[in-house]
Parts: sequence; C-alpha cells; structure tokens
Amino acid sequence: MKYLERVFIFFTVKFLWKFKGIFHEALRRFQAVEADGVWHLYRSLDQVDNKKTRFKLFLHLLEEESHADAFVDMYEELSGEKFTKLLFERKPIGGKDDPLWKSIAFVHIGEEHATERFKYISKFHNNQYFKENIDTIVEDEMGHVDLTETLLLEVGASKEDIRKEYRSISINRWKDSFLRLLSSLYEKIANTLLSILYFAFAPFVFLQSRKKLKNYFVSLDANKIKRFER
Amino acid sequence: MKVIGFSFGYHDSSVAFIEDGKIKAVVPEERVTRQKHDPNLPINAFRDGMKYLNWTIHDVDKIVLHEDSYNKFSRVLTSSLSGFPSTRLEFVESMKSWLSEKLWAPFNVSNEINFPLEKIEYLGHHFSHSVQGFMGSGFEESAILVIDAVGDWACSGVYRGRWENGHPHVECLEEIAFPNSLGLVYSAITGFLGFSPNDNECSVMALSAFGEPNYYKEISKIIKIKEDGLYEIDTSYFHFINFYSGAVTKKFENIFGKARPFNQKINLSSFEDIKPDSEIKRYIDLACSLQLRIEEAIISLAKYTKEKTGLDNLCLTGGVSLNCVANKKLLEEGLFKNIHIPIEPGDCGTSFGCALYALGQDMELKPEELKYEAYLGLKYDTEKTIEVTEFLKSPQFNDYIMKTAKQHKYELSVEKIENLDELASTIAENLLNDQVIGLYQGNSELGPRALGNRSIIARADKKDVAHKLSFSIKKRASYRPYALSMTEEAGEKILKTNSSIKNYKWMQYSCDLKEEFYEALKYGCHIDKSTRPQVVNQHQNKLYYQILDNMRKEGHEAIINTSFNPSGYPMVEHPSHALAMFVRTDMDILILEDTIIRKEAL
Ligand SMILES: [Fe+2]
Ligand SMILES: [Fe+2]
Ligand SMILES: [Fe+2]
Repeated sequence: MKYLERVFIFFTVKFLWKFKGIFHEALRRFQAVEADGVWHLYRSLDQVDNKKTRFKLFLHLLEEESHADAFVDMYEELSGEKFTKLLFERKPIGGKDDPLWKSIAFVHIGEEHATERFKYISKFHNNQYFKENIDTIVEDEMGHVDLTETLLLEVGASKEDIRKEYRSISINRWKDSFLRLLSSLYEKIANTLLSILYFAFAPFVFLQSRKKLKNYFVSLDANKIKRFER
Repeated sequence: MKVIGFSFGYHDSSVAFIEDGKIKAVVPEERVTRQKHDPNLPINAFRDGMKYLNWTIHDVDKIVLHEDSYNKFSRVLTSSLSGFPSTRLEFVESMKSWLSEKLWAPFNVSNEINFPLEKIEYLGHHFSHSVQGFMGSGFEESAILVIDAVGDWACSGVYRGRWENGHPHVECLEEIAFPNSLGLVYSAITGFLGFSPNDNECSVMALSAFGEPNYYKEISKIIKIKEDGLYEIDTSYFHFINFYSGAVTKKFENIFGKARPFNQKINLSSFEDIKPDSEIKRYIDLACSLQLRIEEAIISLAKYTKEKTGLDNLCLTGGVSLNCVANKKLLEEGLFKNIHIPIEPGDCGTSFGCALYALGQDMELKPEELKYEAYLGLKYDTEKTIEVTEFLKSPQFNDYIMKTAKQHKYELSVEKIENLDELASTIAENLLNDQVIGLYQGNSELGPRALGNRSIIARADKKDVAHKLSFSIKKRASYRPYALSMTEEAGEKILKTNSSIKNYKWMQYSCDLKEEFYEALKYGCHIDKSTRPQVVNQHQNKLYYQILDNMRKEGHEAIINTSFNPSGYPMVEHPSHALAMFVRTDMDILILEDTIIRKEAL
C-alpha cells in the first residue's frame, strides 16, 4: 500500500501540480486538514483528567495551529492570491461515548500519514521555499507520531486494543478515500447532467427570469410564520 | 416554553435558546468550530448549548428556522437562469448545493437532531431580520428598517412592529428586490479593493476616512437615490448574477481602473498623517466616495421609513447596519427619537429574533422584559486550562516558543485574586505599566465586537504599545483604528455627541472625541479623530467597569479595546483558545476569570 501511495504522490507532485490551480487547491486543503486537527485537539482537552497529558495535547495543538497558518502563508506566497479558507463541517471523531484513546489513535494514524505524505511531497517538489516549509512541518509531524503513541498508553489503552483500533482506522481511511473518489466522480456526472439541463431548459425561460428580476419590489409575501406538514 | 432558533446556510450560522421569553444563550457556530463565518448547519453550537443549559431535545417545544428555503431557492434559480447563456457555472454550482442539501434544510435539521418536522416553523430571511430588530428593542411600537446584501428575494425592507395583548406583530410595508442591493455593492467594491467580501467591509470603511470623495459623481450613478427616497442600483457595473466572472464588470474597471492586488501595501496609519501614493489614493478615494454615498442612501431610506410609518422609534438591522460610520450620521440626523440596533444585526443574530417572535405567538410576553445584554454566549470552566500553564516551562515548550512562535524565552507565573476590586486595580496597574492584556471572563459576547469578556486591552496614549498590539499580537493593518472603552461618566465627558450616552454601549456608532482629549487617547482613534466607543456601566460588566474606573482615576479616560482573536480566526471562545493566542503572540498578560497569567522573561 505504502509503495502505491508513494507512486501516487510522485504523480501528483510531478504532473498534477503543474496545473497551478490544482496545486493551490491542495494547499488550501492541507490548511483545512491541519485546522480540523487543531479543532479535535481543542475539543479533547476538557476530556483529559491528567494535567500533564493535557499539556502535551495543548503543545501538540499549538504546533498544528502553526502548520495551518504556515499553509496560509505558503498559499499566498505561491499563488499571489488572497487565501480563503475551505470551511469544513466539523464532526467529532467516533460516537459521543467513545473513550478518548480512540480519538488519539485516530489522530496517531493521521500523523503517520501526514509525515509520510509531506516527506515525499518535499522530496519530489522543486520549489526551495516550499520544500523548506514542508520540511519544518515534517519534523514536527514526526514528533507527533511519537507523542500520540505515548499518549495512547498514558490514557490507559491496552496494546491489543490499540492494534485492533489501528487496523479498523486504516480500513476506514481507505474506505473514506474510496468514497471521496466516488463522490468526485459523482460530481463530474452531476456537472455534466446539470450543464445539459441548463442548455436544454434555460433558453425557454431566461427571458421570463430576466423579467422577474426587473421587479423593483418583492411581490411574494414571505412575512409570516410557516410550518411544515408531513 | 422552550424554543430554539437556527440560522445557517450562507454565512455566520448560530443557534439561539429561548425559554419563556428569556434569551438563555445564543451560540454562533464559528466560535465553537474556530472557523470564521462558519455557514454549516450549527450542530456543534447546538450540542454545546444544550449541554450548557442541561436541556434535552424532549424539553423543546418548537424549532424556528430563519429562512424559507423554497423561497430562497426560487431566487437563486431565477437569477442563475436569467444570465443565459453565460451563467452555466453559476447554475451548475448552485443547483448542486441546493438540490443536494440546502433545499432540504428543515428535513436536515429534523433528522440531525431527531426533532419532529411538524414542530419546525420558519420565516422569510428578511422577516427574520425585521423581527430580530424588533424583539428585544423594548419598544411598544417601532419602524423597522432592514438593509442587507440579499436574503431570499429582498435586499432591503421597511416594516412596522407593534405589541398587541402581549403578542408581537410585525408587518411588511415594502421590500426592495434583488438585485437592488446596497450590501452587495459594498461587498463587490470590498473585493475590488483587494479585501475579502462578506468579511473585510470594515477595512473599506476604515480606508474611507483617508480619502476624498473624488469619485462621488461616478458612484452616484451606480447608487441612484430616487425622488421618493428609495435607491436603485445600476447593476451593469457588477456581476451579481455571473459571480464566477469576478465582482465587477469591465464597465466598472473602465471608470475606476484595475482592482487592487490583495498584497499591495497600504502605507497609511490611523494615527499618523502619511501621504498616500497615487495608486493607493485612487483606492481610498473610491472607498471614501462609496462610504459617503452609502450613508446618503441609508439616511434617505430612513427618511422614507419615517414618512411611511410616522413613528419615533427605529429598529435598524441587516448586515449593512454594522457600518458604524453610517450609523453615526443617522444618529446625528435625529430623524428618530430612539434607535435600536440589535447586538448582532447580521445573519448570525436572526436565530434569536425569529425564535423570540415565534414564541411570542404562543405565549404573552412583555416587550420591556425581553431586553438583553451583550453577553449571551456560553461560559466555561477555566480551571483545566490554568492547570496546563504549570507545564509551560518545559524544554519542549521553550523549544516551541523560540522555534515556531519565534518569541523570546519566558516563564509563566500564575496568580489568583478572588477579590474583584483588587483584581481590577491589579489589571489597571499593569495597563499603566504598558502591558497588553487579554481579558477573558464570563459568558462570551454575541456579535462582532468584543465588549470586555473576550477583549484585548491596552492604554491608548502610547505609540509603542499600539505598535506591539498591531504587529506582534493582532497582526492587523495600521490603517485600521482600534476602539475605545470607557465608563459612562467618562463618556459624558469626552464624547462629542448630542444623543444619549446609552447608545454607545455596544460599539455600534462611531463618535468624535472632544478635541482636548484626542492626544491622550490617540491610539484608540481614527485619523479623523473619531472612535468607536464602548460605554460601560456597573450593571453591564462589573469587572470591566471597575478596570475602566481605576484607569480613569489615573487620568486615562478610556482604553483600547480590541477583539480577542488571532488574525483570520473568530473571537476566542474556550479558555484554551485564549491561552493558545497568549502563548503564540507577544501578549504580556492573560486574565482567565480571577487568575492572572504573566510572562516573565528568562
Ligand atoms: Fe500538522
Ligand atoms: Fe501533526
Ligand atoms: Fe441577511
């Protein structure tokens, strides 16, 4: 699997990212993923009773927040455009009664992936400024891999539990990647269908629509409370 | 009776929790998710609010949504079809998000929180704005003016609100339809000037003070004021329908030149007279002309509203009513005896307006009892965050502050002062020692302004303090002025105003300072010697009032108050957000409730 991923990163960095739009969009996504991680870490703080562990999580989130900000700077430097955030839907990891260690295990796997991915991105990329920034992040991420590993034991997870959890997280991550691929495929199909619909439908109604937009006052009365009936 | 209000879908989602006519809490999703202007279904805000109030979903009598999704969909569809054949992208993108999600908003809410659909009610977008203005105003009867970007079909509207046997009634008198929108014009020009639309409008307002209205004639052709007092927009200057083609059209560029690149430096300062270069001059003159014309349009609308209703009270709301310079002109105009602007006049605040109004249909309420203070957010325990500071001296941490946060090495000291007077005087002493202080206490304030519970404060008479605040803490452009907080007593003394000092409690109006006080408060003022004052009394905020009063006794009539948030993030909500900003910047002191955390240089 790892080998396959490396090939994928090589292909992305060397070919896909030649299209500036795709590269810049990737930077936006990296920022959003880092910021999402920060959010999960913030949310976990109040769940931790041991204050030393809480401190470790706090330090971890400070570094992740710096990463998120670093991607904003990289985006603006490399694209020459003002950065706008991708706004993720924030979703807690797992169920609300899941023990904390499960989220940490999730973060751990994420850290491992991030380290691998950024290491190879830096290796294959040519821009010195970008490489240097990514290398700093990789250094932190390697620390996070170790940190989350020790945290897991600190919050009382058994080695056997952790091993099982890693497996199920990895499977879920692959499932998620597959679903993401499917949804981008679905999006392409939706784009085509909607475009066809637009050209088939709009010629007959656009004049009427324009006329409607000429109305100065709103004619429809939306000023009352409405209720849904099933 | 328990009612919950939801607003979401475009920007600034929020959830409001109402019980028997009392606003129990209003939680913006952005504060909980740390994503500024978060538009998503505010599920995290909902969960946190429910937990805080100890409510279960079975306690809730009804849920009210701030928007009629079908009505809004019809506008989006009409608008994307009207631009045929050049609006394919707009059609495809908007249909994708509407058909897959937005159109089913009520169903999504019902499913997501397991609440029966038949107990969900909804109002039109601008109707929500109008009731957001009226509910909590304390007025028995009032004119209501909504000025916004766009909701479903309306962009602005005039309404009348009154109470009848304990029930509120708001009726629509006139609504101006899309695309005639003052808010959209302001946002489009915000984009043209190199800022983020729907976010950085305040930067345009700030820049306007440096310019001259050299484009007034041109802007007046774009924003026309009709004989009856209403306005009309010449939309041929903007891409309101083909928004993927950029904010403005060629026609606009032919007159105003090329748009400003976002990273082009603007070397202006809110407290120093610096001559702008010709390129920047073009932008600030445009900002100035736009601001002037918007003010005229707003005042003209207010006159129209006055004539139409004949009432002495006005509730002003909608995103455009965040423009504190325009609000100042409106106040000075004296058209209305009383003006109420809700604490959050934008979309975020519609959740509590529509929930209160819907509740008022079912039970008798008293308008006077609905009045609220600013601190409607949640409150958090700070103990666990304070415990973390014990370890913020480890080699690991020092490594972080030197390498990543790029600061000098320091150690933290923690002191608890339970006595409020003592705490206030210690804070004041530190302010006098040039310290920049993060003040975190109690429930967070609703709305875009920090009002002493999530504030960064500093003395207003020292350049190096203001510099540190701008460059090493807030990372904010020097042309953007800070605001001043003061006690009511100080406000009476230093503000140049004929209206009641109580108007200034929520930083909604800018106001000139009396000449003799300007030098001593210069760094909390703009280049035109105005400021955006917050006037505080004992009952609103005890600790903050005491700090301000102590400063006053030391000869400082006011202090700088700016929002406690890192650049690009919403205001800090949880104490750990505050601690993170504190250690990542050059802030000197952090107050977490009654605990003072100081940085001691090593
Ligand atoms: Fe990271
Ligand atoms: Fe990491
Ligand atoms: Fe709105």
